[in-house]
Amino acid sequence: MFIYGVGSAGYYVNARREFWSNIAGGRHSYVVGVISDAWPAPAPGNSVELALTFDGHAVMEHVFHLKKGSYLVYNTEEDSKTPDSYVMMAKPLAERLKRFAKEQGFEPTVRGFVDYLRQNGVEVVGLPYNKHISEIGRRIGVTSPVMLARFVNTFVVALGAALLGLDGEYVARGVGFALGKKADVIEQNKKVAAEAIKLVEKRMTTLQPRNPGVKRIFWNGNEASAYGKIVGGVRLVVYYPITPATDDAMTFERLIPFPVSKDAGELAKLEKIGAVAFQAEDELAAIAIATGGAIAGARSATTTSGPGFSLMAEALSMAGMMEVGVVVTVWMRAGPSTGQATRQGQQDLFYALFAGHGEYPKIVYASGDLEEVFLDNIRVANWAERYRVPVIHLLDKNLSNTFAVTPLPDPAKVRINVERPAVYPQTQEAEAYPLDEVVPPRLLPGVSNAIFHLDSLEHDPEGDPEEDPVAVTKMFERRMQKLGLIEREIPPEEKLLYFGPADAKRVIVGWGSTKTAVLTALEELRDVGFLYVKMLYPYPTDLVKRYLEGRETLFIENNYFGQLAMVTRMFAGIEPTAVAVKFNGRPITADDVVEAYRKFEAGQKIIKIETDL
Amino acid sequence: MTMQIVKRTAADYRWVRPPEWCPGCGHFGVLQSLYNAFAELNLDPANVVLVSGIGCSSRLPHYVKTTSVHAIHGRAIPYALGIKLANPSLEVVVVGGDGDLMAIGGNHLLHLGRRNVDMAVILMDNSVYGLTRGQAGPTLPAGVKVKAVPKANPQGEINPLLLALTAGFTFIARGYSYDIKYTTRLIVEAIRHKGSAFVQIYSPCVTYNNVMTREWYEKRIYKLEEADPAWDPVVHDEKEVDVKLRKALDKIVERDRLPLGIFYKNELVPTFDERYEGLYDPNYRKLPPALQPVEVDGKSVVDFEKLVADRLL
Repeated sequence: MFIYGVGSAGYYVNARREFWSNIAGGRHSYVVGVISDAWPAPAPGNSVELALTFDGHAVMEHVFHLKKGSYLVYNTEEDSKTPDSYVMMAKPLAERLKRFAKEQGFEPTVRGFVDYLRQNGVEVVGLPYNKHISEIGRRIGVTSPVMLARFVNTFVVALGAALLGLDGEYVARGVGFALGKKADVIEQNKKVAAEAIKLVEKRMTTLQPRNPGVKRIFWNGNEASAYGKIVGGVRLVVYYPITPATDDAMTFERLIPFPVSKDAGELAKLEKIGAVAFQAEDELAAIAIATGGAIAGARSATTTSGPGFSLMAEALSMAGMMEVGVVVTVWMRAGPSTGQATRQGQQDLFYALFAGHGEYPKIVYASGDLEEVFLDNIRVANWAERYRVPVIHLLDKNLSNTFAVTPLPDPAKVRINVERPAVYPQTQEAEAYPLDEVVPPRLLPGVSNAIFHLDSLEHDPEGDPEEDPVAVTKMFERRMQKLGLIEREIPPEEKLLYFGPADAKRVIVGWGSTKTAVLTALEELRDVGFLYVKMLYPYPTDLVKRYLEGRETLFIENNYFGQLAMVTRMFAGIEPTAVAVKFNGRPITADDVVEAYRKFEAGQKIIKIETDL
Repeated sequence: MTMQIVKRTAADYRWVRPPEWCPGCGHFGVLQSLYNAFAELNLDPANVVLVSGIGCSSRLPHYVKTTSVHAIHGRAIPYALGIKLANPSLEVVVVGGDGDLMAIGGNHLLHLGRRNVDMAVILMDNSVYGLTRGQAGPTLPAGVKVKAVPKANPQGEINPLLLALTAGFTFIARGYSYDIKYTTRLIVEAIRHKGSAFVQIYSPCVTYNNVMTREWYEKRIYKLEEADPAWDPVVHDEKEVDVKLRKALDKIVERDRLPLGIFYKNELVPTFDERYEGLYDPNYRKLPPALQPVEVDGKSVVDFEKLVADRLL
C-alpha cells in the first residue's frame, strides 16, 4: 500500500520484504530504500530514516536501526509491554534487548526503549492507535472490533504519508491497489486515511507529486520471473510448492490465459492463448514433467528452491544426456537443509554448477535485479531451446521479495529465437543424435513425422544403447562441444558487466542480487570497479581474466565460503585478494558493501558481515 | 486431396534391434502384444511416444518402431505426463517393471490415477529386479525366497491393482504375458480408454524368480469373464460407481487364485484435458503448449502491457 502509494505520486522505490518462516503471527516488515525521482532508486541500507511500526515488538526489533534525526511512528498503547510480552519475538533478541536496557539503566519496556531513542535524537510520533481508530470508526459507522483491527494498516501508512508530506490522494491510490475489488472496504479505508493524516503535524519532507514521463510498473521478483516466462514463450510451468519459488509459478498460473498481441499474426484472431501450470507430486516429478513438455516441443520450466533443487539432480543429468532443453528457475534461500526458508542466501552456486552425476553440458545463469529477472527468463528459454541443455537460472529470496516501482522494461530487448523443428513429408525413422551436428535437429513427436528414440543411456546416433568405446568417445565429444558453442554464441555483455572506471586498481566482484547493493555503494565509493558476473557456467574465463588480472579484488557474497571467489580461482586461476561474506539470512546492503570495502582497503582478507536489517 | 490409408501390421512396429532378454522371458509376450495392439489400432508410429524408466522391461522401447523416451529409474510416468500435457494429441504409453513403477516410482503412479490423464501404463510384473540380478521386487510376497537372495522376503508386497484402484485409475486390468492374444486385447482396451489406464501383466522372470514361474501362474490364473459370463466391469451410470468399485475390489484382493481381465472401467470421470479446458484454457486441446507459436519476427505473441495492466503506474 505504502510503496504503491508513493509510486503513484511519481516516484521510484526499491524495497524488500522480510518475514519469519512460521505458520501464523510472525512479523513481516518492508524495508524501503530511499524514495527517488530517478531510476535506479537506491537499495536499502542498514539504518532507518522512518520506522512505521504496528506494535512494540517492531519498535524494539528496530531500536538499533534508528539513528539521530530519524523518525519513529509507534502505538503508545504498547508502552508498558516488554520483550517477554511478545511470544513471537526471537528469544536471543529478547535477551539482547533486556541486557541492553539493564546496561543503560532503563526499564525494558516499549516506553523505555522509545525514551532511549528520544534521548538519542530520534523524532518520535507516538499515538494511541486503537483509540484513534475506534473514534474514526465511529465517525464512519464501523464499530465491529474485527473490522476496526483491519484498518490499522491504512492508519499507519497514512501517518507515514503525513510525515512525508504526501497528499491523501496517493494513500487512497495505495489503498485501492492493496485492497483490490471490495468497493465498500476501499471507501472506508480511504476515509480512515484521510482522518489519520490529520493526526500528524510534523513533516520530514514534502513529496510533491511528479510526472516521471515514462510508463512504470510496480512488481516483485517472483512476478518479474513469471512475466518473463510468459513473454518468452514458456507454455508449461511445473512446480511443487516451496518458498520462495511458488509465487513465480503461481503468477504464471494466475495469468492464464494470456492476452494476445495484435501483431501476433495468425494468433491475433484469438484474444487469449493458454498454457499449462501444473502442480506436481514432488520435485522429482516436477522436473521430469517439465522435461517431458520440452521433449514434446513446449518451452518448459520448473520453479524451485534449494531442497527441491536437490531432488532434481538426477533429472538434470538426464536432460544433459538426452539433450532436452529445460529451464530450472532456482530461487535460492538460506540453507543448508530446510535452513531459513524465508531468508536470503547465495549458497547454491557450487551445487548449481556441479549438480547431476557424470559430465554433461549445461548453462548456469544468474540475474541481479527485476528487469534482469524478467529479460533473463526470455534468454534462458531461448538457450534451452537452442542448445538443448538444462539451463539453471539462479535467483534468490532477496529478488523474489524485492518490491519495486521501476520503469516498465521493453520485452523487445531480448529477441525470441525459435529453433524450427525438422519436419519430414511422411513418417520415417530419424536419427535423434547424428554425429555431424553439435546440436541435433529438433525432432518433435507428432510434429516432425519422425520415429526416433531418446535415451538416458549412452547411445548411438539412433538413440539406442551403445557402449563401444570408439562410438562412445565420438558421441561424448559431440555432446560436450555444446559448451564451446555456448561460449562462442552468447555475447560477452550477456555474460558479465563491468561498472566503474576502466583503470580502477581495485575491483569488487559479485553476482546475483548483490548487484543493486554494490551499484548503490559505487555512488559513494570512487575509483572502484565492479565486475558483475551473470554467466556462471560455462564460466567466462577469458573475460574475467581480462577484467581482474593485475587488480586487487574483493568478492562480496551472501554465503559462507565465498563461492564465486573459489569458482573464479578454479576456472580463471585468479586468487582473490579478499572475500566479504554474509550468511545470516539477510541480504547484503549498500552500507554493507561500503563498510566491507573500507575493511578491504585497510588490508582485511576475510570480512564477515553481520548486519541485521 | 486423397488420404492414403495405411494399414499397418505387427511387423511394422518392430525396430531393427532384436530384444536382449533371456530366452523364455515373459517380456517377449508383452512386446508381441504391444506390436499387435499398435497394429490393431493402426497407430502412426511417429505419433506414439513409448516411455520407460530403468530395468529389463524398460528396455522394451528400443525394440519398438515408435518414438520413445528411455528415461531414468522410476520417472517414466512424469516424463510421459509432461509429453502428454504439452501435446495431448499424442498417444503416450508407459511401460516398466514392478521395481520401476511400484517402488522407486510408486509416488508417480499414485498421482497419475487421480489426474485421469488420458494415457496407459503397462506394468510388466515379475516381482524381482532382473537387471541388478535378482533382488526382491515390491510385488514379491512376504516369506517367499527367490534364487538370488539369501533369505525369504521380510517385506510384504504391494498389490498393484489395489493401489491403482485407490489412486483413481479409471481403467484397471490384468494380463498374463504368455497369453499374447488376451494381453493384446487388454492393451488395445487400455489405449482406447479415455482416461488413466493401468494394466498389470504377469511377466515371469525365468532367470531370477524361481518361485513365481510359468507353472506357478498357470495353476492360479483364470479369466473374469470365463468364470462369470455376466462380468461387466464398465460403469455405465454414475450411480453404479460404488457397486462396480466394490466388485472390482473383491476380485483384486483374491490371492489364492489370480483373476485376469478388465476389473474396472469408468469413462464418466472427466479426463485432465477436459477439466483443464473447462477451468483454465478453452483452447487447450486445439492449441496445447507444444503446438503454439510463441513469436512473430522474434517478438512475443503475448501483449506485455495488457498482461501487466494491473501493475502499471
